[in-house]
Amino acid sequence: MPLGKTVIDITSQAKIHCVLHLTWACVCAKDGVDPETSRHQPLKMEQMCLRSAQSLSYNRSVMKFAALLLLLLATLVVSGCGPDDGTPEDSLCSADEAPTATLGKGVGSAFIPYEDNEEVGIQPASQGGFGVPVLVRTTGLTAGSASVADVQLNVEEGGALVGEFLQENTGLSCRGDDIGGEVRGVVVGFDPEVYATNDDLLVLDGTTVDLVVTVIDEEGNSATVRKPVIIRVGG
Amino acid sequence: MHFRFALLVALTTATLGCNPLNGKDVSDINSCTDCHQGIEPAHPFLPEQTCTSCHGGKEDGSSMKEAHVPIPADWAEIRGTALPPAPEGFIKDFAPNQLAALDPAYLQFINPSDIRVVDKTCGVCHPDNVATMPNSVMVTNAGHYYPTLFLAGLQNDTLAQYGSYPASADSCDEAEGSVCELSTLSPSSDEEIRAAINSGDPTQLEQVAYEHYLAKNCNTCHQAGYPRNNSPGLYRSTGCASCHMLYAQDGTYGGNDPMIPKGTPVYPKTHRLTTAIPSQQCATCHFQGGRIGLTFRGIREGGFGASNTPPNAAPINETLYGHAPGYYLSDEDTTNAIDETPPDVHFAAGMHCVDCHVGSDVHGTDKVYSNSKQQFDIRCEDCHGTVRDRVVPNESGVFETAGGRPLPQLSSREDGAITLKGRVDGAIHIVPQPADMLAEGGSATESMHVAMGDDRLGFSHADKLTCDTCHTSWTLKCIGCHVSYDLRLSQIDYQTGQSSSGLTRGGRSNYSLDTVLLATSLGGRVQSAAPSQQVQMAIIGSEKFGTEDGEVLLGERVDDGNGGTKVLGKFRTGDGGRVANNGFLPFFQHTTSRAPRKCSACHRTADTPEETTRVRGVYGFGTGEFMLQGAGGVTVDGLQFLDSDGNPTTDWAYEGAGPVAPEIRQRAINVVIDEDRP
Repeated sequence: MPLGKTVIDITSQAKIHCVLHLTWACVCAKDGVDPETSRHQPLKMEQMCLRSAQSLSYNRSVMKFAALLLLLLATLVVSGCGPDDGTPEDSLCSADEAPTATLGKGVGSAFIPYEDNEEVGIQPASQGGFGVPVLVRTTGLTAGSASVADVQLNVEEGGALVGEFLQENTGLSCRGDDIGGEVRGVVVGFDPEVYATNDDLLVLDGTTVDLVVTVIDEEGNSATVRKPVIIRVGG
Repeated sequence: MHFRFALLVALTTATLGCNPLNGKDVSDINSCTDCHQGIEPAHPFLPEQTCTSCHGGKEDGSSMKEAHVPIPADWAEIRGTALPPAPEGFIKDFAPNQLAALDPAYLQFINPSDIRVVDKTCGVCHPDNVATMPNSVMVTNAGHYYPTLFLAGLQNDTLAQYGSYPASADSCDEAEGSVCELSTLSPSSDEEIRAAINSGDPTQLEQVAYEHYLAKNCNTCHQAGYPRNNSPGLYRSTGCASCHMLYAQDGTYGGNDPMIPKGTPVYPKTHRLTTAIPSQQCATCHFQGGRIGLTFRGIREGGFGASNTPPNAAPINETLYGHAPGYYLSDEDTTNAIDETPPDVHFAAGMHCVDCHVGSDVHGTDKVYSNSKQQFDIRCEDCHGTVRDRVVPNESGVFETAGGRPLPQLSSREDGAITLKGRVDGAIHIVPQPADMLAEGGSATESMHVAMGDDRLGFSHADKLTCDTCHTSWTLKCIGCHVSYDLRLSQIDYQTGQSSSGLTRGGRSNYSLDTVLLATSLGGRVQSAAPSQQVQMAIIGSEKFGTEDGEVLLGERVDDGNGGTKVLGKFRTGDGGRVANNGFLPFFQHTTSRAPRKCSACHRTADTPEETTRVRGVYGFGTGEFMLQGAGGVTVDGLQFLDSDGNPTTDWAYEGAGPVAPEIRQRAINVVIDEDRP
């Protein structure tokens, strides 16, 4: 299969949804829910709980129905049930353009690119060690749900290497072709033997270091970002 | 009738296509699954369940805005400024106090199983578990607070006062370690810090430092609050979903709902509750503390740097649990064919934590216990029987723990074999019964008879020792813990989710993988022991609080031998001159091995002074190998809890635990065995 933009066939996946959908229809029928609108009148939890207690006998009904579902599945395979537009649910990001990488911060879906000389806080990790968790967004690298990359995480102070870490086989997910790939939550560390005491750390406080991150995709394509940031110890 | 109707619906659906949005206008949206098509049923055994019965919101809302519970107006205020940037409404890194302040409807919308709303959701069908859950140490985290405070001399008894969640119980019994109430521990304010400094009372100052230390370092692992949720290995939810909804190592969703973004944390693997909980899920918390989430899987904590990393070790090159790649090791020495830190034999066989720890072990009871050892009742013998009796079911045919808790995972096969059905994969495991092996005609070797069988006086080691005393392959002993509380800096705490004055920084002084140390367990038998809460606190002042920047308020600044200085923490002198905060606890390492330790691990191989000294070290007389430097020129052996006369040199934070009884240890030390005995 060629790399780059690839449409993933989710037809079979969608068919499974259909079976679920039909199972739900069965439930609706059993419970007298209006099958035309599929609108389920929400049961109170107490009612559901009672039904759960009856689940053994109910499950037997479901088991009987399983054979029928298999027949229906066969019908569905014949009739087709995929989305019309063929939109991939889980695309691969394009690797056609020149590789780039951007460093940022945020949790959840947030991504805020670091500005040059932005202040970043060092976070202590459990049982020792300090680092800066970073997000890396990429373009021009192969990224997708099954894509992995190696990430080299270096810290340079005044051109000297003061922390060097290799992250292997980390997920490089695709956030969409308009956004690119993303590696989340990797930690750029600071050598704890170099920064053994708080006094050592405080020397770092307010100094400018370069966070240098290189992402290498499965094909060996790489993108490097160097971002000068001002270290703030504590938070 | 139902079948025919369903068939009609099915064929109609098949003909029209299954994507409900196909050809529909947005105004046609009339149920959650119109958008969240394909989302996994969270609770498949409850098919009548709708989205809103758990999550709240409006089932027939015609738009996302109408269907979803709105983001509370005070969300940004509650979030504050200490947490990292997040999308609007994001709460999956909120600390307990923040979750408590949040609109319950919104909390339920994001996580229906959160402990603050769970009585309306999971609790309707599972009232017993939900009623006891707030009391469980899995929620209260109580065992992380009081031992530290007790050893620091900041409380006089060994009963919990604090927890991450304000638990309460109708009855309590000090003798069993249960308490009627726990309160939460928030770090002291700037005013309180100033008052403590100005008081000139070192105890007040230590109280402040320990409060900050506990809230800022020991408070991310409990079901009452989210962890940081920003780094691989840490991703999880709160409440029931902490365990019962699985998260991938990278916190991303791998299910079928097109509305949930792929490749972006923080989402469960799939929208599915399960009791098949793999050990990796447990390790989202249990990589800390006793590190059993690591050791059980054969992972050992390295810690960077030459002093912590053997020259030929195999590092795990992943960001894991908030540490940069290389912090953890999978093998001590890649140049040999031995795995020096193998996984527990149960894990290697495909079993997981939940194959032993279910029921009240995790869900708690009606009691609020001070630590996990008081709450847990599972023992090796519950599945394996004793050396004299195989395990037998009760009158109803159900196997149960000694405490009477059913063990439905156990069965008896027709051929008499005891089997365990794995919760995660359903695999059937034969559970060896030592009594069968040791019986006449059994498979036990001579060594096994010596180790476990009755001697001519009817004595068996198993009468006095827990199984893991011998069946432990390696240990991860962290010896000494330098903690500094530095008022020049600030740090977020995980009780309030806000930043406050003082950065707490902890780190072990030494580690050992193969040291054997024995003590008396809470049940009265001998068990492996480990250093615990050996905190040496140092407090460093700042101009903000009226001292000089960097002034050492507790502890001592000394030459570091490299042209610089370092700050040493203080050991506390307790009653009778004991070094109180050089703590130990009996501890099951979760590195069970089929092959036991050699007899020479605990007995002498020759009647020589060297051998006597070595074996005395096993019983707490010290080894001289791990000397901890404290303020004021105090040097303490990190593996010593008895003086040369056998008097205790430390306090024990666990009622009933302590050194091995004098008569037992002396008898054990007196034994001289053949060096070649396996």
